[in-house]
Amino acid sequence: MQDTNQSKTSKGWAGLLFLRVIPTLLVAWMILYTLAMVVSVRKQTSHFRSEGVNDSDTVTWSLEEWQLLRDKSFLEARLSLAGNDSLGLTIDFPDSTVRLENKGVILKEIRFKEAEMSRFFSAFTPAHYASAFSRPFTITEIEGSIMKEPIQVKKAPRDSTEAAQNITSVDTTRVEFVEWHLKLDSTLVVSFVQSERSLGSLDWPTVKYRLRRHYHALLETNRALVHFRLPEYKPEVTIFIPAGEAKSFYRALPPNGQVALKF
Amino acid sequence: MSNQHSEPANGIHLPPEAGNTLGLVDTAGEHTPPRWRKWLTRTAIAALYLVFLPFLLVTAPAVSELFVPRGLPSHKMVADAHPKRVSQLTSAITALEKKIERFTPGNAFLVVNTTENKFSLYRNRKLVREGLCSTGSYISLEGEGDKKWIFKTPRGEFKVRGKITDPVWRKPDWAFVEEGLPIPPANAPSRYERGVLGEYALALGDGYLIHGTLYQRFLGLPVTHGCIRMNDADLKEVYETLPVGAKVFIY
Repeated sequence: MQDTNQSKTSKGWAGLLFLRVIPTLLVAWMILYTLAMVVSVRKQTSHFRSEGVNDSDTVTWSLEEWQLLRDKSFLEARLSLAGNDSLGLTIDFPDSTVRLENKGVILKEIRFKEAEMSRFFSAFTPAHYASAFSRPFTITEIEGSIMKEPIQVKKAPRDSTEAAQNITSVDTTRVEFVEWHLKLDSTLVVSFVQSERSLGSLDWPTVKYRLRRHYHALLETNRALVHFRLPEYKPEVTIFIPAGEAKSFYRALPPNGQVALKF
Repeated sequence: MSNQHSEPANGIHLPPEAGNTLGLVDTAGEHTPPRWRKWLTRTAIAALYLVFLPFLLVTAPAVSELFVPRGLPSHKMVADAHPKRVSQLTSAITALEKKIERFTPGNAFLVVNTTENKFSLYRNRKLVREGLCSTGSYISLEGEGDKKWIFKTPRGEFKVRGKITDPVWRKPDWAFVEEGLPIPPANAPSRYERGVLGEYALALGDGYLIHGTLYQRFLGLPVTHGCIRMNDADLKEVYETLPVGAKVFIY
């Protein structure tokens, strides 16, 4: 009889914990998380807008001037990129082009058909835009679902007989799902995803890459909230390009390369 | 509630499970929610557990983005284009375009894509030929002791340092290690092989060459020890187009 009562009590406690306490905490956390993200977004936007810009000269630009200003900012960023020794990436959203450049020489250019962009990138007034985008951004993180250098280790054969048996062949049938991202100046994120949805299933490296990325994002945000700090908001653009091109760009870009953007 | 029938004070008999049957009164005499409501609550709680992480990852950022203030001035807010400012911007753009154009070599240059194993040859800023090539295999060959070779094509900007016809291959140490053969002395005759590099070779420095190949079926694949291999026709055109000093961009 006592055992039954004890089991009923523990069942009651478990029920209270899993059906009342934890759900209440989860809902509270979701609300707090969303509120913190909203504040963070607004703070980040105003931070980007306030960098060396006087607010007063923002509304007297015509649409033509606006367009010219974007062109000028992009060219200035490209010129600065050309002065750098390493390879750089230029992304022109109005033109839907991605280019790989080395000292001003266009090594590769492709047009994309599909891109997704955070609303953040349309939050700029002309003067703010010119201030933020007339210089290239520096890559602070580059990570993807494929290896940057696909090195295979091979032991030297002991004799010519073993060498004849160990002829390495290239697997031409292997298809990898290509997805990668760049973090720019630790604040903006540019992602590239292969546009062929049917080519290659979501393989384990891609799942691992996505889990790793989401885990980091969650960890950073939750850690900030626990410490009563605002989470860092990182506006993102995603560009869909063919797998082969996505792979070429990923493998070509150096870890501390630069990227010029035009929106 | 007891399962036994008892005689109530007013003499009316009620079935012992009456409270539960009606779903109104429980053993403690409190209000009990109907079964469907209980089921609904538990389903909602289960759903909450399931959507918690996706909510934090997707919904919360998406909701927060709705609060990004719009920055584009509306048509009403925009003044007419200021002619002076427009002309200033236009001339600044023209000057910048000219500056950037000057970076592109006017004479011939070659671009090699090591991921897709393709090359593009340019002359007078125009593409004159493109095709397949073979570049480094990314094999790391580990020999005895600390000896190690990584067969990858270096990336960056290079210059054609020399042009050779009918090149002879001087086999480096790794060529013997890879075949399981003993390494001969530096100038041993077994180190020299004719006819394996095609009719032409262009030297890029540090022993890296652009040359021909006997294994043309491997063009388009990463199979070399770091050099760039081309088919005979492509190699001939590259050889004839690129002068010594011409730039070669490898990425």
